[in-house]
Amino acid sequence: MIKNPSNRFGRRLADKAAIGLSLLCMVHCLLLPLAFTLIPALLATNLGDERVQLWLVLVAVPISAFA
Amino acid sequence: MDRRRFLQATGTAFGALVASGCAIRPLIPVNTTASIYGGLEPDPQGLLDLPNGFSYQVISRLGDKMDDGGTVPDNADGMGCFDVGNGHLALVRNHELIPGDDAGGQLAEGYGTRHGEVLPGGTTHIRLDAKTLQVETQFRSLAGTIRNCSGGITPWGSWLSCEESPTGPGQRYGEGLANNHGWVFEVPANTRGLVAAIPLTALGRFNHEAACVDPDTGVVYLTEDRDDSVLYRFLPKFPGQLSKGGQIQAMSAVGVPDIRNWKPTQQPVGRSWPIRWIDLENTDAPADDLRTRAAALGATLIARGEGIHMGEQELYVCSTSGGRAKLGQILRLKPGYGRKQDSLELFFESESKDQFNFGDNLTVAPNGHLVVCEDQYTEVVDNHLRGITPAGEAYPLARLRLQTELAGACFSPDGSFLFVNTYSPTHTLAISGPWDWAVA
Repeated sequence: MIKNPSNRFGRRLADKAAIGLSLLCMVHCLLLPLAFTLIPALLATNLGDERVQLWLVLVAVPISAFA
Repeated sequence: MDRRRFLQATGTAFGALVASGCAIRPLIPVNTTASIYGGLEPDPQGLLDLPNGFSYQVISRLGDKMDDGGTVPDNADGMGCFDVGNGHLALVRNHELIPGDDAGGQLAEGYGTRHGEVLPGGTTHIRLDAKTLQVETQFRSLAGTIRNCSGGITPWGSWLSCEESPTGPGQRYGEGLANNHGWVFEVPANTRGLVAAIPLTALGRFNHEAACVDPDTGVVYLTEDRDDSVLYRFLPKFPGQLSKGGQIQAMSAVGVPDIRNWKPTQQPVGRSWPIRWIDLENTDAPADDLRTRAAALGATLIARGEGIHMGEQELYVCSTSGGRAKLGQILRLKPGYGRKQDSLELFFESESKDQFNFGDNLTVAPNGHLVVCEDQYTEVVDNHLRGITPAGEAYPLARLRLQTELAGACFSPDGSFLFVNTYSPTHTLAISGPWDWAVA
């Protein structure tokens, strides 16, 4: 059977985007369990320290006000 | 989220990925054998005889008032059909008019003039409802050109309109002309009026007939209507942006300097040859000698390259007067896409006038047959639409009862209608019928 062409012209960019997103999805799926195992280790950091909170406020408030 | 829900979620994601891989795999068509629709029934209107089950309606004709104040011009030739959204189609129709012909009204602007007057060649647009075929608007969309014979659709939604007229100031037929002609022009399908007529000079200057674009690569294939023509292709620097330049090449079938089959040594139908492509320089060809320079470099000679149509990773070329009987050939070119060498096949060659007589424009029907418009050059003509099966068997599909040619055959994107022109007087017809019918 002779066939008319599938118009893939505009799809090449979409194909690349789809491949990229699929790869991103795979990386996400592979790394997420690792990230979960590291959650307890976050307790050993200083992220909960009051001084960290204070510095975050001092940075965030002026930028928010300006924006 | 717990471990079980996490595994469920990731499992679903990977499952969806696997399933999507299956879903995009193309469906394999059911194998069917050739379909022939039976005898042609005389048309009471005396215009077009069709097989039982088919009918036509005239959607536009010479002299119809258009919405830009002009009237539909004569010499309707190549044509493309586009889905322009919201349930509408656009037909872009060439008019093969020469200086002095009636343009169908005063033209506001265009590419070229003769003695200050905008030249009459160009295109008209018909926007119509995709289901009812009710014409919404008709207008002139390209002007200032000469002998717009055929052309081709692009996968990015435009029509390439080809000037079959390498002439200009100081050249044959060039008296009074302001510019050189023999170019290709691009007309977007979604335009609502006259477009800026800018020649795509990178596509070369010669006796242009038709063009088709490979949607996989953006490469443009071009025919030339000459007894000693060659087949060209244009490799764009940027696919889809033809005005930004590229390289023109000519086709050489290895070991076949001449495929016209006019000499005692003849090439058999069904045989294929690997092909190579020859770079061409000075493609604006002021002396209109591009084909002869290409042949001198080894390009294969073709008899009157006319219609050209892209299929699925292959394209079909009509050689109007090729073959031992000089009644027409159809060539099939298969690009190799870097995986293998491109090849050329002599797909069909007519042996008698009853079989196939001077094919010109062609397209592919939903049932997988070629549909070819005949354009005979005898004093009295008997032009048909010919179907050609994938096995290379020709059969009559319609018979024109007027003394003119059929041209511009193209299907609506959904395959419901075949649009076709009668050249002079201009009629644009929509033919409906069992186009997807394939009898085992």
